[in-house]
Amino acid sequence: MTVSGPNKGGPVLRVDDLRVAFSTFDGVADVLSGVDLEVHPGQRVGLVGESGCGKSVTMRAIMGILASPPARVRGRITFAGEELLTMGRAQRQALKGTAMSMVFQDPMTALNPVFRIGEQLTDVVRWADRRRGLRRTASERRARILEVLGQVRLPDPERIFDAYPVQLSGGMRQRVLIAMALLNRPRFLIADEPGTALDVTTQDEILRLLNELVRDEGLALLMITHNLGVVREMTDYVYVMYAGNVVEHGTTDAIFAAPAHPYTRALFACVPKLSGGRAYAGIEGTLPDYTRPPEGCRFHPRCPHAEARCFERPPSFDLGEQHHSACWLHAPTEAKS
Amino acid sequence: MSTEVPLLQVEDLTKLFPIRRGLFQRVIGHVRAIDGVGFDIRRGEIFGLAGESGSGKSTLARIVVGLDGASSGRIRFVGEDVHTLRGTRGFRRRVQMVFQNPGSSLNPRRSIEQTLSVPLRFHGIAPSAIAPRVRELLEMVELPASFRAKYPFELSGGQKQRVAIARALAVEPELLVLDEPTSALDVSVQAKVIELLMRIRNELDLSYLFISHDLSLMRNFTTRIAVMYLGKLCEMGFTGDVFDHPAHPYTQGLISSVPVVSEEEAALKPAVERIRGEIPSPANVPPGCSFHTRCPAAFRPCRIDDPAFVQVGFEHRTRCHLFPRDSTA
Ligand SMILES: Nc1ncnc2c1ncn2[C@@H]1O[C@H](COP(=O)(O)OP(=O)(O)OP(=O)(O)O)[C@@H](O)[C@H]1O
Ligand SMILES: Nc1ncnc2c1ncn2[C@@H]1O[C@H](COP(=O)(O)OP(=O)(O)OP(=O)(O)O)[C@@H](O)[C@H]1O
Ligand code: SF4
Ligand SMILES: [Mg+2]
Ligand SMILES: [Mg+2]
Repeated sequence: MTVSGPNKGGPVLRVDDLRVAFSTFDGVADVLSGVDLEVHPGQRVGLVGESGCGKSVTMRAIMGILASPPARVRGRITFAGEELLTMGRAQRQALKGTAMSMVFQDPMTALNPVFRIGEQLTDVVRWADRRRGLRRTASERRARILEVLGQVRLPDPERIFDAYPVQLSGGMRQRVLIAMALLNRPRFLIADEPGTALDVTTQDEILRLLNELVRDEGLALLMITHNLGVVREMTDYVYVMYAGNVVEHGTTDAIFAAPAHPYTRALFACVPKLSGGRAYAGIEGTLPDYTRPPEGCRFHPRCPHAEARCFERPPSFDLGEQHHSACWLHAPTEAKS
Repeated sequence: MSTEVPLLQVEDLTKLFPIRRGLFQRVIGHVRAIDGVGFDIRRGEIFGLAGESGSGKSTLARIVVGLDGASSGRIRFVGEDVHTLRGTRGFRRRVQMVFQNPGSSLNPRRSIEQTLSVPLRFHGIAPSAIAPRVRELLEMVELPASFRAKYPFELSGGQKQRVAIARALAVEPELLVLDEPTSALDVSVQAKVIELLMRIRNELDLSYLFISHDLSLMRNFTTRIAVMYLGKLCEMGFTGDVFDHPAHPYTQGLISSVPVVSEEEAALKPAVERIRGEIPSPANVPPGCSFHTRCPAAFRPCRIDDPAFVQVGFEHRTRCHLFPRDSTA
C-alpha cells in the first residue's frame, strides 16, 4: 500500500458512524449504534468497556471478518484514505494481514498444533505475497520470518522455526502471534486483549514489546481491553465504549486525570486499587438487551444522574481540545435572558 | 498474640505428581507441585494466596478441601488432623470450595434449585427444610427467588458464580476456599461478587482461603497473603506489610508489573528491574533458590543453596539469600 496524497498526516484509520446489527431469533440486535473513532500513525489507541459492550464487534467490522448475514454493517471505515466497506472483495482481502493486521487473543487456539511454527508463518507470508503479486523464494521468506522472530525477542529463532506450538510456553506462543501479525509489514495493528491469557509478569513483557514495536516501526495500534490499568500504561488516546456507543474519548492523560462520563466514572470505581483503601460497588444493573436498547443515552437505566432529557441521545460535548463526553450533564446551562 | 487454635494449619505439605512415559507408563520423574508449604488460617481471616500460573495454588486448594491427598505433610482443621477427618461428612461440610470457572462447575442439566438441594440432601437436611433453605440461599447471594427454576445456560457469568457461592454456603461451612472466583468476570461484575463475599463473611463469620493472581484485588480484600513460586512460599505476611515492604525479589517484581490506573498507585510500585523470562517447569525446578533463573538480584549462593524461610518483620517471612537468617524477630 502506498500512502495517498491527501491522507498524509491524517489518521490511518477512520471509522464514521459505524452501525452493526445482527439478525437473531429474538429480532434485530442493534449492537453498534454509530461508533466514530480515529487512529493516527505512531499512535496507540485503547478501546475499553465492559464485557459485551461491542469491542470485538468493532474490531471485526474493521477487519472485515463479520459474517454477513447475520451481521449488517453500515457507516464508513476509511483506511489509508480508502473506503473499506465499498471496496471490492479482492482488494479488501489483500489488505488483511498485510497493511492492516491483528494479534489474536488466545495463543492456544490461534496456532495449529499439528504444524511447525515455521510452516504456519510461511503460509502467512506466501498468502500475502500472492495477494500482492510479490515473488519471493523460499529462502527469502525464511529470512524474513527469522528476522521477525528475532524482532519479537524470541531467543534462537532457528529453533522456534522448527518447533511445534506445544513445545513453546504461553508467552512464547503469544510472541509468535505478534510475529505473525508483523510479517507483512503492517501499518496498522489491532490487538484484542493481548496477553490476557498470560501471567502478569509475562503480560507485562508482551505489552512492553508491543510498545517498542509501535515506536520503532511507527505503527498505529488499536488495543482492545477491559483492563483499565493496561490502557493507562500502554495508550496515548482512549475510547470508552458502552452498549455499542463511544461515550467518552480523549487523551489517556485527560481521561485518567478527570473521567467525565458517568459510565466511565462508574467503571473506574470498580477497579481495585493497588493502594488499597476502599472498594468499589460495581455498576447497578446489566448491559441492555440489544434487541430492545434504551432510547437516548443507552446508559440511562443504570445512571445515577439520569433525568428526562436522557431519553434523547446526547451529543458529544467538548471538555477540552482532546477530551469529549456524550452526556447531558456537560450541556452548558442556558443563560437566562 | 492469642493462643486460640487456628482454623486451618498446613504443615510442611508436599505434593508430587508422577510423570509417566512410554508403553508401560513408567514413572520417569515427578512434578513437585507443592514443596514444603506451611501456613495457618485464623478464624475470621481472609488469607490470600498469590503466584504465577503453575505455581501450585489450585493443587493446594484441592488438598485443603480434601479433593486430593498430599504426598507428605499435614493439615489440621481446628487442631485435628484432616487425614483422619477427611471423608467424614463433618469435615466436608465445614470446608467448601468455589471454583474458578463458573460455567463448568455447575451441572448444565440441573436447575438452580436442584443444584442447591444436592449438598443439603447429602448432609441430611430434612426434605421439608430444603425448599425454604434454597430460597434463603438465593436471597443471601442476592438472586431473585424466580432463579430456582432457571438452568445455568440462562445465567450470566456473575450470576453463575453467585449460584456457586450459594451452593458452597448451603451447608454452613466455616472455611470457604475460593480459587480465582472472579478471574472470569469483568471488573464491574467482579466488584459485585467481592462485595457479596465481604458481606456474607461478616454475617456468617466465615474465613476464606482466597486464591487470585490479581494483586490489586488481594490488596483490598485479604488480611494476610502468601506468595507462591514453583510450589514454595517465597513470602508471607500481613497484606499491608507485604505490599508496603515486599522483601522477596519475586514479590517486588510481581507488584511492580501490575498495571495501575493512577499516578498515586504507580508511585507505590517498587522501583525494581522487571522479571524476565517465564516460570520454569515444576518438573525441572532450578537448584538453589528456584527463582534464581529470573531474579534480577541473584548472586553466587543463589545457584547453590536453597534459602531458608526467615523472619523479616512481625509475622513477615521471606525466602531469599538477601535476608540471611532471622534478622528481626
Ligand atoms: N454474530 C453475532 N450474532 C448476534 N449477536 C452478536 C454476534 N456477535 C456479537 N454479538 C453480540 O454483540 C454484543 C457485543 O459483543 P462483543 O463480542 O463485541 O463484546 P466485547 O465488548 O468484545 O466483550 P468482551 O469483553 O467480553 O470480549 C454482545 O451482546 C454479543 O452477544
Ligand atoms: N493431576 C495432575 N497431574 C500432573 N500434574 C499436575 C496435576 N495437577 C496439577 N499438576 C501440575 O502441578 C503444577 C501446579 O498446578 P496448579 O494447577 O496447582 O497451579 P496454579 O498455581 O493453580 O496455576 P493457575 O494459576 O494456572 O491456576 C503445574 O505444573 C501442573 O501442571
Ligand atoms: S535467593 Fe537469590 S535468586 Fe533467590 S530471590 Fe533471593 S536474590 Fe534472588
Ligand atoms: Mg471481546
Ligand atoms: Mg489454578
